[in-house]
Amino acid sequence: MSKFVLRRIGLALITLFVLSVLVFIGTQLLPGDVGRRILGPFATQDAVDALNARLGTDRPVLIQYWDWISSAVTGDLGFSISFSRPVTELLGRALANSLKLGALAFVIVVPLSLAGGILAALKRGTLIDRIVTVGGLSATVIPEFVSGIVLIVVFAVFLGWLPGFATAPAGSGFVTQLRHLILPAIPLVLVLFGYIARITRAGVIEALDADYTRTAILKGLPRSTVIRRDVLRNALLPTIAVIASQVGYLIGGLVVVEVLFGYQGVGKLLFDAARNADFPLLASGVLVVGAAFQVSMLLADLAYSWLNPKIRLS
Amino acid sequence: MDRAKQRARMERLDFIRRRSNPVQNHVIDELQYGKLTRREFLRKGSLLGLSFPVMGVILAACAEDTAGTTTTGAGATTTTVAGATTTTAAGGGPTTTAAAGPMTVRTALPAPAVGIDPVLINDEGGLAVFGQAAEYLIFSDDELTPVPVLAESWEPNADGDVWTFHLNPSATFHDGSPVTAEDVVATVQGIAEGNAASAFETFGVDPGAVVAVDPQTVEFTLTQPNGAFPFFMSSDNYNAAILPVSFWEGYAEGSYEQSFIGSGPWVNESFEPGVSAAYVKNEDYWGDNSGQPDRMEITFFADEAAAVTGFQEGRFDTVPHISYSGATPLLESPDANVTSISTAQHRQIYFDTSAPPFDDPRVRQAIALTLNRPSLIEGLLGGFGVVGNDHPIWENYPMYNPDAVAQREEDLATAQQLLDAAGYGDGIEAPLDTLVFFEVEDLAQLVAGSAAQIGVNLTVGVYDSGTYYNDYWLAAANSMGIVNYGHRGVPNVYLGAPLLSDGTWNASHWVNEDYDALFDQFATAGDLDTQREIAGQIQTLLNEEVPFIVPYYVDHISVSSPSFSGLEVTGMGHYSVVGGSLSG
Repeated sequence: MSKFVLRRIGLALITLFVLSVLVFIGTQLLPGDVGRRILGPFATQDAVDALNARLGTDRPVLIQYWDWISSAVTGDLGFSISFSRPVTELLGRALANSLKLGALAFVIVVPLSLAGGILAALKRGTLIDRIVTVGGLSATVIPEFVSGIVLIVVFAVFLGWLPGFATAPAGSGFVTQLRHLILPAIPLVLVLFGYIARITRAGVIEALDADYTRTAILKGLPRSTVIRRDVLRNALLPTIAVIASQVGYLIGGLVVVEVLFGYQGVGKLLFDAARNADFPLLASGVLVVGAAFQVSMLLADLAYSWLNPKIRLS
Repeated sequence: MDRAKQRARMERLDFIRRRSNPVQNHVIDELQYGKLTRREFLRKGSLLGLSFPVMGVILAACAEDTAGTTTTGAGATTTTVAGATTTTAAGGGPTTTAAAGPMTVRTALPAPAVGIDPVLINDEGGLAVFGQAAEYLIFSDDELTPVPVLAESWEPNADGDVWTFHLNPSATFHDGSPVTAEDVVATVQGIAEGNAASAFETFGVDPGAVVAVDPQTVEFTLTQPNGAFPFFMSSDNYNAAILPVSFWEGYAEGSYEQSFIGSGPWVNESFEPGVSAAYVKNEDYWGDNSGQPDRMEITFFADEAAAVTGFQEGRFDTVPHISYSGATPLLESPDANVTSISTAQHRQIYFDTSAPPFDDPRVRQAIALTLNRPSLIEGLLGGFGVVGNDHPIWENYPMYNPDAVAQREEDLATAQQLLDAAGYGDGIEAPLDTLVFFEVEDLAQLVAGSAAQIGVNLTVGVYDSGTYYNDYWLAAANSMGIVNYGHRGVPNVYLGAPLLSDGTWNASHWVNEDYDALFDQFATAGDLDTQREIAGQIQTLLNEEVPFIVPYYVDHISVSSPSFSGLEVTGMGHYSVVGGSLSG
């Protein structure tokens, strides 16, 4: 097991390195230079050149990359070019915000979609099955900005039940913060529900039709026991992989939701960094999101092996 | 009025005249001979360093009707009156309506694009935040009047190329140290060395020629005369808030956010980039801020819709600047007071005049004639704007010459004739490049649609601002483009860099020696009469040559809750709630 974990960590590090190179190349392809983006269109070229020199963005790209990556491996993610602040400070706050929103969405969507998928499978071909599958699919294809706007208009503006502005006032307690995050979490739940529920449903149906399930039933075991011990344990394997693969999205891919609901998470921070050609912030942010993704996939693999006796990681 | 009083006033006027320099006396002459209105005199006089009490004496001596002072804004329009009660004290900072009990004013601003740094800020969110704790020598208000702040008075020499500013001796920074001439010098030199976007060189300032004459007097020797120089040391030059020498000695990118030091009525309590900021009342403020709210909270937004939602929820008392499209859901709401002020902000639809087909003025005139400007204002701005006439001298500038040239209106027949005469009767194919900015993208489509009526087919390209300014703006070749110019208290910036033959922002590549000479005369003119005469020539020349179309000027729209009053805004994007009060 430990050999497997070490191998996965090694692979994750290689992946992150490749990711950092790709992000670096991507930032070099962004049009315009950093000094121009910071000083604005009407700054003189001399001013832009001088700022680029001070920031070091006029140096050869390989030197810039080496400076950044060699510091990053020691935990120093550098200084944001546009915000003139340590990247760790900016990223830390944004990451905390994203984790709150992502966690809330997770807490809602995982049990909901698992229950929906299992119920649909157990009631295969009935109205409930149709509601879960068609409703889930419909919810998944609605873009976040559409569902988000509808939620804001209905629940924040007309009914006034929940805040449409996700950032809670400074010093707010847990309940207030939670209240501010409910509406932005719902579009994420809608997007993920259909996907996870359908995978769950397919897995449960496959397990229900499997020989071992038939054998367990013929042995006279109670149906609930069969479902709990034999069906779900096997049926949830693909579901776990799907859920784990959404962690990266929930942490770093919520640009639309964060902008729409006025929330400073990692997605919006990375969007601003890309707009300002803020390489240290952008690259570090992508690395953090990538690392979170890798960790979640590793945990998924471990859970997979624990649930499936056929897989032995050692 | 009895003769003794009249005589006493004339004696005081004579006394003032003896102490005034020739330029100031010229303004007094213009008032006496009816060439200036009272408002124009107040504006021009304060620009030239006459204090408000002195101008009051002059007005009293020059006219029988001398009671009170003018309060009508230059072109200010109000859609829904918010009941604002803030006034500006003569020769001092703002005075405020007394508020009952502790009060927190909550505002929403666009997130600053970069950190709050006196050298680097270049966007509205940044300057609006910067202007809360820091103050300028002069505040250029929404009536285009230079209001004394840290400088209590100023005056030029006879040639207008040396300007002397006298600082308010009571002004202090948040740490208690006095605001001195050395701080002004350090600020100018610090910004110039930091290569700020608003480079002082553009305004004829040699940073090395700014001298502290004594602790309360600072002298600027300009590279050429400039009759409007105080505006360039005002809030119009938003980087130029005065910060202490000690700050500049330790300056580095990002260092300002460590202290948010300034001399203003607000002291920064917290600042989280992209999220929020909070300020508390400066209890030791050097001016009168007795009625100031106790606290101000700013929430930053990336998308205007989020600010509107927050406002509708009652999360904000005021959103100092909002677009027409953002304000639309609030226009009919009883829970929102939507107000607007007229500004000089405008869009320029420029042509590459250096090469065919736009090197022929008839082609440019033809396209300008296809636009239905009132419809554009109604459709794109909901009526929150005024028509432009293809020159950047806004009708509310005192030097605007209303008799110079008739308003250009839609005339497709003449447009077609001009195009035929230019040899392009078979039509033109050209790109029209612009950036994502408020309604500009839609404007580009409407311009293309209008031009198509005479066979000019424009292919619209819309880019993010970085790409546009880097790859398209000044590189226009056989093409057209649309760019935005923000509000300024005087039109010198609009008339200089975008239009001079060697102008650094001359996207039209327009070269005209006559214009260059006119601009020199305009910039150095000491009296308004001369400036207005030259402005008339400039308006006519630009309207005929059309290096760019100015389709309209854009109003600055604000929204406040009915329970809040006292918001002050400028077309530049500064705002103040120092005079704000909440009821209910």
